[in-house]
Amino acid sequence: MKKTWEVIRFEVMRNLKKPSFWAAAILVPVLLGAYIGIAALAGYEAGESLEGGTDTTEMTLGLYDEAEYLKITKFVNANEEEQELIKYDDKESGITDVKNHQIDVFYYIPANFAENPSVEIYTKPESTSLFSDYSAPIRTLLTTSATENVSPIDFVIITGAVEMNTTTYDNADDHEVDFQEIVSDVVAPVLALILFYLLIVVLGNRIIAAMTEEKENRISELVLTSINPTNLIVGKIVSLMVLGLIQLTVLVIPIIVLYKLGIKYDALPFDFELTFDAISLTQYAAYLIASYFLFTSFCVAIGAVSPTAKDANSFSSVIIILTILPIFFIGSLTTPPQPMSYFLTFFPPSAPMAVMIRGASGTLQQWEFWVAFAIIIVVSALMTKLATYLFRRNAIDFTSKVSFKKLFGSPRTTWKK
Amino acid sequence: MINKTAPNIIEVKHFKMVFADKTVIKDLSFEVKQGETFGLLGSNGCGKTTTIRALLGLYEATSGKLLINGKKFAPSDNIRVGYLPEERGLYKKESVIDTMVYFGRLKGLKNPKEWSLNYLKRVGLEEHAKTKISKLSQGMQQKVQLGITVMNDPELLILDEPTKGFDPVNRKLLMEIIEELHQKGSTIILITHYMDEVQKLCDHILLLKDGVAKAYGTVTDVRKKYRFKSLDEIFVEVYGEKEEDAE
Repeated sequence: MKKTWEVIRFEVMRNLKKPSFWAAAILVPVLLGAYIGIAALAGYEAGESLEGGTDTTEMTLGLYDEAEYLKITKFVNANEEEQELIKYDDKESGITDVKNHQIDVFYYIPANFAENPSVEIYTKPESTSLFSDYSAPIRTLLTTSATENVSPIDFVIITGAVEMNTTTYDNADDHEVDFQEIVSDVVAPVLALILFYLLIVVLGNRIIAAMTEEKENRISELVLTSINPTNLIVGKIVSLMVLGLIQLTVLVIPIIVLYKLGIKYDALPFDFELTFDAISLTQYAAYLIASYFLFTSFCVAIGAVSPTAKDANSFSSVIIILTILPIFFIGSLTTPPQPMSYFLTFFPPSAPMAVMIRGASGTLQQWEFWVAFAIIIVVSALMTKLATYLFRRNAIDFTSKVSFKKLFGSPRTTWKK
Repeated sequence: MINKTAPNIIEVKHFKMVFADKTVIKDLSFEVKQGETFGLLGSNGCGKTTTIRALLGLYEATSGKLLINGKKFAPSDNIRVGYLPEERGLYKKESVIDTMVYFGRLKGLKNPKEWSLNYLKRVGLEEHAKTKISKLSQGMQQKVQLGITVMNDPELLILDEPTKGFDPVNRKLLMEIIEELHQKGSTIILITHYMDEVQKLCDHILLLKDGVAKAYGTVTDVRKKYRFKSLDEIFVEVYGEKEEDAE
C-alpha cells in the first residue's frame, strides 16, 4: 500500500510540474469554448435573427384582438410575401387550436391593452428552444397600427415597449413548458457531457503515455523489482483519476465564474437564474467519475500491452471513437427511445456519453441511468483486472507489436501480493 | 574466501524455460551461497538474462524451482535486492534527484534524498541533481542507474552485463562499489563477457550452453576441468562450438 502511494505521489507530482499539463488543462477548454461560442453565434444569426426572432414564414398564425386595436392583420414576412393572421373570436379557441397543432402560434391582445400594453403568445413547437421568439409578426402589425393612431399607447408600441408574454405547450401532455425547469434539469448531464469530453481530449494520450513509459524507457525491470505490477498499475490508475479530478476542478471553476458574471451583467442566453438540483448534480458527478474510470481502464489495458505509446495509438483511437459514438447518433438519442438508443446506452464504451446526452434531452428513464451506471462500474473493475493481468504478462516486452497470441501466450510474471 | 557453511541465498532446481516452441533453458540447477560472488557466463542469447528474469519473477518458469531465501521472489519480500538489468533506462523527462528519490522510496529508504545527494556528490554529479535525465550524457546516466541499483544496500546484487557500454571511469566506480558491497557481505551475481572481471571477482561460476550448465563450480574447479586454461580460452573452447537451441 505504501508503495502504491509512492507511485501515486510520483505520477501526480511530476504531471503537475509539467507546463504541458497546465497548457492542455487551460487551453483545450478555452479553445473549445471559443469554438462553441462562435458556432452558436453563427447558427443563431443564420436561423434566428435577434431582431426578427424566429422565422414564421412557414407557420400558420392566429389572432384574437379583444382590444380591437389592430387596423390590419396582414404583414410582410421574411420572404417578402404578404402573410395574414387567422382571426379568432375568443381566446380559448385559439389556444385549443395551438394545442391541436391546427395553428402554430396564437396571439391574444387583451381588452385592457391600452392600460397594460402586453400581448400573450401561445405556441406548441415540435421542439422547444430557448431562442424561439414568435413576437415579430405581432410587433410589425402593432407598429403599423400605432403609426396610424399616435396616442400615448401608440408611442409605447412604436418604441417597442409592449410586453410579450409567451406560453409554450409541451407536446407530450399539453402542460406549459417551464424553461427554467428544463434548463435546470439539463445542467447536470450537460456539464457532465462537456467535462467528460474535455477529459478525454486532454488526458487520453497522457493515460497511454503513463502506461507505456516504463517500457519505452527500458525501465520496467528496474521498477518491477522494487514494486509488484499490481501495486504499480493501481498506483498509476489512481494517479490518473487524481489528475482527472484536478483537471475537472480547472474546468469547473471558470464555468462557475462565467455563470456568475453572466447573471451579474445579464449576459445569459436566458432570463432566469438556474436552480441546481443537488441530487441530480451528485448523481451525474458520480457518473462522470465512473465514466472517466471506465475510459481510463480501457486506455490502461491498451497501454499495458503496447510497447510504445505510438503502437497504442491505433487501439486507443478505436476506444475514443466508440466513446464519442453517441455524438454521431444524437438525433436518435434525443427522440423517444429506439433500439439504437438502448444499444448506445448499455454498450460499455458508449454508455457514458449516451446517458449524458439522453439525460440532457429528457429521454432517459431513471432505471436506464442506474443500469448503465452499474454496467460502467462492473466493466471498469473487470478491465482494470484484465489490464493488470496483461501488464504482468507484457511488462518487459519492449519491442514486439501487440498480437492476441502475445497477450495471452507469453510467459508472465509470478509475483503474488 | 568462500564460506562453505554459509546458507544458500539462491537455489535453482531443474529450471526449464520454453518460449512458444523454443526451449531456452532445458534443465538448469545451481546454488549461490550468502556472501559469495557468482558468475553466470555464456554467449549472447544462451539464456542468462532469462534465468535472472525468472529468478526475479519477471518470467514464470515453465518448470522447476527458482528460490531466493527459500521462496519465490516478490518485491514485497524482506530481502533487499539490487538489480542492474541489461535493458536499462530511466525516466528521461524527470530530474536526476526526483528519479532517485522515487526509487529510494519504492525500495523503502528512510531518507532517500539525503542518500541520493551523497551518492551524486561521490560520483561527481551533485551539480546535476536537478537536471533532466535526458540532458545527461550516457556515462552520467549509467552512474545514476548504478546508484539506483545499490541505494538500498542490497543483500543480493544482480548485475546483468554491468560494464556493457561503461567508460573506464564508470567501470572503475562499479568495481569499487561491488568490492564495497562484497566486503559488507552482499551476495553478487554477475553476468558478463569479460573474463578478467570474472577472474578478479567471482568465487563460483557457471557456464551456460544449450540450456544446460556446461561447467559449474569454483573458478579453480572449472579451470582444472579444462586443463588449467585461462578463462578466455575456456570460453572460446566452450562457445566456439555451434549452439543448438538458444534464445
